[in-house]
Amino acid sequence: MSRPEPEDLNALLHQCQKQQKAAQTELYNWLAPKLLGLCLRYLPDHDNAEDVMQDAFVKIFLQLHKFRGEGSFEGWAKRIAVNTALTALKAQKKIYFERDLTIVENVDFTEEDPLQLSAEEIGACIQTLPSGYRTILNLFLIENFSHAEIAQQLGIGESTSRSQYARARQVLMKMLKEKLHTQPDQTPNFIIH
Amino acid sequence: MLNGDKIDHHIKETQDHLEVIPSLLAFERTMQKLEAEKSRRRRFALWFSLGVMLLLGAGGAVYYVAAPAKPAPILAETTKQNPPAQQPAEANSNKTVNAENIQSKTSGTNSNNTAAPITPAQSTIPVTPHNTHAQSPIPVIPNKSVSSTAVVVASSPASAHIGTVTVHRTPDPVIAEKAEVTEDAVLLPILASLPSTCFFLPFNYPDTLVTCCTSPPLADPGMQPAVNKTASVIRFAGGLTFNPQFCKYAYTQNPYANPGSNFADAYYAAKSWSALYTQNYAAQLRFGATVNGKWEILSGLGYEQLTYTEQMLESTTSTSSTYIGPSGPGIQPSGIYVVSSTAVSKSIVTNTFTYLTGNLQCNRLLETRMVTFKLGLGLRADYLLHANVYLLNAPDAYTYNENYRGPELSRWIVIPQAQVGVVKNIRPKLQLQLCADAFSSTTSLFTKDYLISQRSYGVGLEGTVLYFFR
Repeated sequence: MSRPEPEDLNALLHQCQKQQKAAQTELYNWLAPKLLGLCLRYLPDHDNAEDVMQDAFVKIFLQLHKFRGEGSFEGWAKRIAVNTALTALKAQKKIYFERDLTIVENVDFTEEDPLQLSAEEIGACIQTLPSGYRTILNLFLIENFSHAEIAQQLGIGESTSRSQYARARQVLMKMLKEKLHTQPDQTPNFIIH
Repeated sequence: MLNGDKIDHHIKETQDHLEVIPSLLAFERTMQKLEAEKSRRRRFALWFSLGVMLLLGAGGAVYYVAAPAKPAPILAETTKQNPPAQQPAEANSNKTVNAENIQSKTSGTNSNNTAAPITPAQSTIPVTPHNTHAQSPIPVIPNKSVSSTAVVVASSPASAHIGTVTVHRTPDPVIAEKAEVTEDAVLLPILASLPSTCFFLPFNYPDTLVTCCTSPPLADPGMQPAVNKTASVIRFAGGLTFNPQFCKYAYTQNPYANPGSNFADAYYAAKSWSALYTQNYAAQLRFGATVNGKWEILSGLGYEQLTYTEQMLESTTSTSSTYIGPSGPGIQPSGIYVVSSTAVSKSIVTNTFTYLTGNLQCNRLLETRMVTFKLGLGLRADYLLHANVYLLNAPDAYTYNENYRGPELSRWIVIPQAQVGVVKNIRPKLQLQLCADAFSSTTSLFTKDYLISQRSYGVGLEGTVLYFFR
């Protein structure tokens, strides 16, 4: 479903606040694929990710009145989903920070290399990262969190966040390069339902 | 070569717009979670408001109990020592308690002192718990009184005098009283004859020990101590209670017994969405007691009935056509009914659980001028006698069970409750109580192996008639 126009979105949110199921369905149909894609980046297990997405929607529906329309609704909803995913990761104690921070050799890409990789392929590579790397990479690179915010969210030091991100990025680049050159025809294992 | 920023940008762009279509059931599950969360919030609001009410009630009770009462009068003969002009300003005038008479009574001799003897009624002196400590210099709370039968004064072990004890009341309400000895008299014979159970020592006097003693019977019946000991007054009572209830059920999916089949999920969803209030009732025989008219302990034994209605679901797999419901054509009182007809799948059936119920309540009674309030907590334990219930035993078929006590049903359910109400004595021995109560079961009506957990909660109105045996 395409993004609703701002006027339509405001009306939709207003109806959702009144607990109208049709409006809730419409909002869900628009947002659910985006939020599930986001959740899958944090939680590779599909059922787990879908569970977190449902919890995020519950929060969104219950806290709609707190959205003041000052920013993008999509961004607000995604922030809720990220927080819900982090809460789930912490509750499940699934965030492990790698201690091996050995610098791997630099990976060089040509101008065309990255563009040959689809979103699903990159997503699949991110999913295979260790949980600590994956979480910090997602937060810093994709969600634009600062290292200070990450440190606060995950209860770690800012320097830990920096070092983990540097190492995560190197490992991801290496994986992307390998995928690009050694298995160009492999079907991506990013789960799509 | 491509610089790092461009790679990062590419990764961000692709991942930011990545969309994955969720499964078809995800929306329904989201709605179920939403309803469950709303229900949880409503329950929380209910309990929170109840807690606030209880706190306010308890706070009011504490205020009522701890509020300064009218000071007890000193009934002993007093001699006003202040000039009349100063009396209004010093409302608490000096008062002298003559104690010499004690000596004459106990020693069997007459005294020249013409003051009245200290009798139990006359020697009422305000005391406080602080007074029970010999080191306590100042009595603090003057609103309770205890009578003493003797006041003795010993200035030193060598002293053998007893005299007049003067009680000074100060305008300062905190420093209530202190005593001084104004006149000495012979003491030792009294000390020898007085009992050893001296129970408070309130006064601040240099080198002087002032002890108010009570005690074992003296030789003269007229000198019997009259300590206003607050003996517990326990009144036993029996009676009847009728308790209509508005009851709702909290449903929880059993993750172990519900493997996630479509019909089981639909059953849970239907239960969650149709959680209406039902009207139930309990009747009990009551037995209990009140202590000092302030506390009440009540036990009860009786009968309780819990009912709920539910709408039947249509089978997802069976093709047979069987009607369901006690009023349906050709229906027998037992058997398995597979619901495959859309028409009959909308049937609404009633399930009834009958329990032997017992409860124990501890209540605080708060007496006001107009009415007595009652606040309390209780615990109800219900033992299942039998149930007429439709159970989802087969994957998508209901079984109607009459007078059933099968393994799916919990034998015991435990229900904590809180109540607040009013108490009215309509006759000297007959009391009527009307209390609103809120309760929430900690145990499901079904055992843990059943598809769902179903706990009752709600509010009730409890009417009780108690007859006091004495």
